[in-house]
Amino acid sequence: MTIRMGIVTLACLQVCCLFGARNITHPAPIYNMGFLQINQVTHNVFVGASGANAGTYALAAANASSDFLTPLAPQTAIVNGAANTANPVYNNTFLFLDFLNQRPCGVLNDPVYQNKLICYTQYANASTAALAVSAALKDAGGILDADSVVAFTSMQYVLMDNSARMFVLLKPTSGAFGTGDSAFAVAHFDLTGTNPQIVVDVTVGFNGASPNNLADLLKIGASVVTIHNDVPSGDPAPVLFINSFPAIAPWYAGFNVTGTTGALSIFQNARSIIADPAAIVGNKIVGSNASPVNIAALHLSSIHGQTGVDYLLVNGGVYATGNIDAVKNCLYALPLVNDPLATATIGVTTVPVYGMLAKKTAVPVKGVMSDAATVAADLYDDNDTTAMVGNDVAPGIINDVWVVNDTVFVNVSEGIFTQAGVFSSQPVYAPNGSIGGWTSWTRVAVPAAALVKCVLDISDGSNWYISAAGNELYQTQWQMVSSAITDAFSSTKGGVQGFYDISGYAPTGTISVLVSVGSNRCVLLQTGASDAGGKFGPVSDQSIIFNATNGSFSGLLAPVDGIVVSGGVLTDNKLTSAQVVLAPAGDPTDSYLLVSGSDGCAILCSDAGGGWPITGLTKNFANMPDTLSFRRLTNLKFVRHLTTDGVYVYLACYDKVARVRLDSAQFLRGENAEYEVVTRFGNNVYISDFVADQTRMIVATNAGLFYSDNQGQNWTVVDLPFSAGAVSRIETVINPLSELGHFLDGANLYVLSGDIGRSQAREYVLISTYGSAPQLLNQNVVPYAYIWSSYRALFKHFDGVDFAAKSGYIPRNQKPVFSLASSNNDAGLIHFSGMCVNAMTRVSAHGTLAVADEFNLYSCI
Amino acid sequence: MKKLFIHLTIMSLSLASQLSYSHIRSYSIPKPYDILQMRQQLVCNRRCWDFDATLFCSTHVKGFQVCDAGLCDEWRRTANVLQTWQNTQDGLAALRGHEPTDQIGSLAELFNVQGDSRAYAHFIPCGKMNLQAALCGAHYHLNPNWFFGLYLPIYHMNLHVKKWQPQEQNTGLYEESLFRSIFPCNMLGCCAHKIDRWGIGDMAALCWWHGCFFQARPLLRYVQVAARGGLILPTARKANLALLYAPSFGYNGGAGVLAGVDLELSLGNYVHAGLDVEIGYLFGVKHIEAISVDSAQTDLLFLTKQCTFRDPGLNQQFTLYGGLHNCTRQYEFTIGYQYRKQNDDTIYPVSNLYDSVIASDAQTAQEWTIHTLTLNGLYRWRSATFGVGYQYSFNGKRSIGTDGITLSAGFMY
Repeated sequence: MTIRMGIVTLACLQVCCLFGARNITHPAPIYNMGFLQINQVTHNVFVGASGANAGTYALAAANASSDFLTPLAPQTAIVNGAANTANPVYNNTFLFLDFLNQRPCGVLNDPVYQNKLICYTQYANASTAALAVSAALKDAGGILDADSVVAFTSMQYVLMDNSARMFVLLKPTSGAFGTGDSAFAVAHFDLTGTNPQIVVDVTVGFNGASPNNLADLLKIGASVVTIHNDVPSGDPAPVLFINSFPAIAPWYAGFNVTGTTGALSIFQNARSIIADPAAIVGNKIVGSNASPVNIAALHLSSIHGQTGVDYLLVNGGVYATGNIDAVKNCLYALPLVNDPLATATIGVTTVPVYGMLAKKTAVPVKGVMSDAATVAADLYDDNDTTAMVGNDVAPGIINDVWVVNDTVFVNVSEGIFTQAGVFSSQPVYAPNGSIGGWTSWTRVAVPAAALVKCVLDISDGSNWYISAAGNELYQTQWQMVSSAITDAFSSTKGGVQGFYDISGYAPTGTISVLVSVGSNRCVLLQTGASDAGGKFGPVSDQSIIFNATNGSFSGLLAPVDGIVVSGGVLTDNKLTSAQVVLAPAGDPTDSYLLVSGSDGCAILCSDAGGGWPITGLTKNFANMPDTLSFRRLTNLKFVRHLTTDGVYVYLACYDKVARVRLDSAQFLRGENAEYEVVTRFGNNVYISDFVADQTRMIVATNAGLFYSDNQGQNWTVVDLPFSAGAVSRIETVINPLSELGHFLDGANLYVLSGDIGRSQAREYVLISTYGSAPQLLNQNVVPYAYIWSSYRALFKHFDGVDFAAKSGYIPRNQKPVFSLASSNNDAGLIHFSGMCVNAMTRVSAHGTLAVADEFNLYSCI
Repeated sequence: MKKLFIHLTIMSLSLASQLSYSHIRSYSIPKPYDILQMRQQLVCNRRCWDFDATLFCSTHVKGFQVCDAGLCDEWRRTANVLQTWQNTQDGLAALRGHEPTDQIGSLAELFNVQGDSRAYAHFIPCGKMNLQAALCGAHYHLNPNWFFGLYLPIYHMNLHVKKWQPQEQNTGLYEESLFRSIFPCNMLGCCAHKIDRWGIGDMAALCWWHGCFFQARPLLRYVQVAARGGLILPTARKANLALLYAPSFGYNGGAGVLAGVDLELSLGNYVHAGLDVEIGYLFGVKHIEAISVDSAQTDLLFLTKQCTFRDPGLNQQFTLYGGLHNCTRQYEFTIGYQYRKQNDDTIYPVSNLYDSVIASDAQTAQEWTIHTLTLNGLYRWRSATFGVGYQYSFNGKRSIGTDGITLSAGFMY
């Protein structure tokens, strides 16, 4: 289709990133689902009902190979060994649902069963369902049954012979939780008899013997929650969290409490405090000595970092009376003492501090932190962004928190500036192994809505989620996306070769743009924008495309959804890279797009040297000047990568790196723009990737990884274990807290080494620190089994999963098989129709990972 | 850019490639001791010498391709001589199998070898070859039944590499532009040029036994049986690793033994027909050759030169012939069909770096066959013979057919 320049066309193009998740169906009637658990071994998910009329679907399972839910709650089942017994799960709803030792377990929301534990022992299909149901749990009084379970979790518990354990907080027979005989109890499977049974542990293991199946006494009025001997009032819906990592196994319970002269929101184990009361001075994240004080721990979780450190994740904080919403979007990561032998003097007594909060300045030794917080300066304040996951408050009220590998996910409601959805953040490790900061919240590829539940399958990066309405289950899946972008690029010319994501997610962001480049062409496509209510979110309508065929925006008339630029200096330029820069030395208020490829570098600017206004660009490219056109920048050819440090733009060719000062006056000089050669390698050394800030440069070559701290005058090779050989790709995870222009100091580098000669590839994670060589973050170098391409090998650390595009072995005269692999699934996730994965990016507005070959764009949506 | 170009051009001189191990034995060029050539050898009833020589001049040289399991694209039975093994030569695959920091391996990284099988680095070779050969033989006859022979071929090969043309492909890729820009055509020693070589082939020393048995039958008058055995001596000019295509004129330094048997029937006064079988066993040879180090590599572009031990396959030759002659056999006209075959060679690189399976997977190391028709006319005059003939190769695989004219002469004293 030939479209004349300057004509805005209404093309029947499908959208770039539709949410095309697979719907898992089930027969009528429709019921509400409230619980979702995934077995990361079998990749089956279990769905628990939260609404009436679920019938046999009160508990159901699904997997990637079926579009239907499998009901697991027949009317009759084997219950505690008795066949044809009425199944308590049938047509019931859950209060809690967890997954333990390959078995769904939980508590039913039913007057009869709300103080009993239920666990499936057999669930291959509905006809063979078998369950174990515990006796009614007793409260701390031990005589009367507890009223109900108010918090539940389960895990393989290391400290208790590594067996499957269920942990509950119990509401007493009479009174609210936190009063009277409120209790903590532990139960386990007894597999020794003919029929598996759930047995409440006689010894719960934390505080000595508790005879006669008594649960441990648990009173919020006890000193473990209060400080200064005041009695706070408790929230009837506490949260319970068992730290699941072997190195540290205490449990934590969180509460929303009010204290007259101070309170703690979390306590650890039954009678241990989370932190030394002497350190609770002022408003800390888990406690305060203010009078009065409201403090909440609304969600708890933990993260076991790649360096071995343990952090407690706490959603909440100190809030003004009646304004708990103010802390519902705050999620903090607090270091824990994970040395079992560590002690500290608390008050006048030297006590074990295992599991308590560590000093915020504690230095881990091989991942082990030993120094407990004992003074106020040791604890993070509730306004300390260093401890704040996402480097800021979450985009909306947090409804759920979960962790996959070392990435934290939150399910949030609509925020002030942002539409609802699931967002993630990953830690940026400091050189000493502690967490030095967190990446900004980034949307995850599920619908922009407050979903009921969402889980990530780590084997392929897909998300399972229960819709916001609560009655549908979906799984995102890798699929070809026929989009405006792929239609703009010819498959015979290699398709999309490079991406650049202009992220609009920020409190004031109003538009996100995905820049795609390929043979002789550049496409700017709107992927996200603020809606009428000023809330930023993904957009799916990309039907209005402006085609500029002479390399110029002349004739552009907003509103448009995308701009396709060809012709002009882009003619016969096989583009591979794009970069957006500011021009601080010239026009600091404007943004400029640069693209580069075989025929050199081109910049999008006006005849006066201007770009587009940084803050003025809004939805549908409103305010995008029509005076912009691409013009050549320098006479360099074969510019493979572009990057910037804020002062210069670096043009990485295959044999050298040059840089041009970011100055609109330079931009106007076009081919005659001055450039300075930063480095030129020789002796058969060719450049495959390059990053730089104002102090440090790091270059990936076929001869290894090099760094320079003196602007390229001297290069030092970075020693990588296993004779890394050729390094093809550097993925940089930057700490948002780093100093402007010095983002490589403290940045985490995910480095991919692909060695064709040895038929191997490895992933290294390094920490970059000025003044010393980048050092390995940990020794867990991830090997990939297949032969990797050289500089074309692509790599992303995305939602806690490392994705890389790989190639299979290529027999003579046969087409190669390329696929996307992950660190959790080296066998490959999807095989592409094309021969080579050209480009990969995270589309921040949608939260998808976009992968392009010459034929299609793929996303897990 | 200019500096790099010069650097690469200079480097190209040391990267010149060549065919892995082709030898002239896979050509249909006649051998000096072929039974069809030996027909001019005179029967001598006393101790004597005879000498003969055959001049062969090719009129057309062509390649016979093979398509195993349908893996070839555009398979053709006959092809240009430089396309005998593959239609195109893969410039990227040629760079594989090396350390990423050496000359070749770094280029592999630069041109993105592994990640791309597009054809932008494929070349279509095209050349014209002429072959001339002088096949010399000397025999010493002990008696009517036994004689010894020494045979030495002399070859002249002229190859005009006419085109080394990039396959027409516009992939739109950065790498394609880069490849075309800095990858000079002579990078692999394969720009248009001429290769002119001559030299001797492998000498053969054979012992013959010949018996003629009268048959008192109405049609069958004589049965002639001949048997031969001897050595193949490694005198041939070896392959030139510095040239694109300069095969050995023999077994590239390898020796062997051969044995053959011939049965000829004389039917009436004017007709003869025969069958000849020859088996050659070639000893393994250790030498430096260019080998395949990646299964995707194509046979004209093997850049790895490596000491190897090559174990050649069994060489077989079957000849059926028949003809007319006058009653005194002064004039003789023979038509023959010859089938040659050599089984797979096995290559053992003398190194832990390379794989024998991949090296032996080269097309030039695999079985080759060739089918040839021959027409020969012979005139005997006193102690001399004169012959003229023409041969036409019509089928085969992984071999080179050499159609051409033969002129022969021999004399005895």
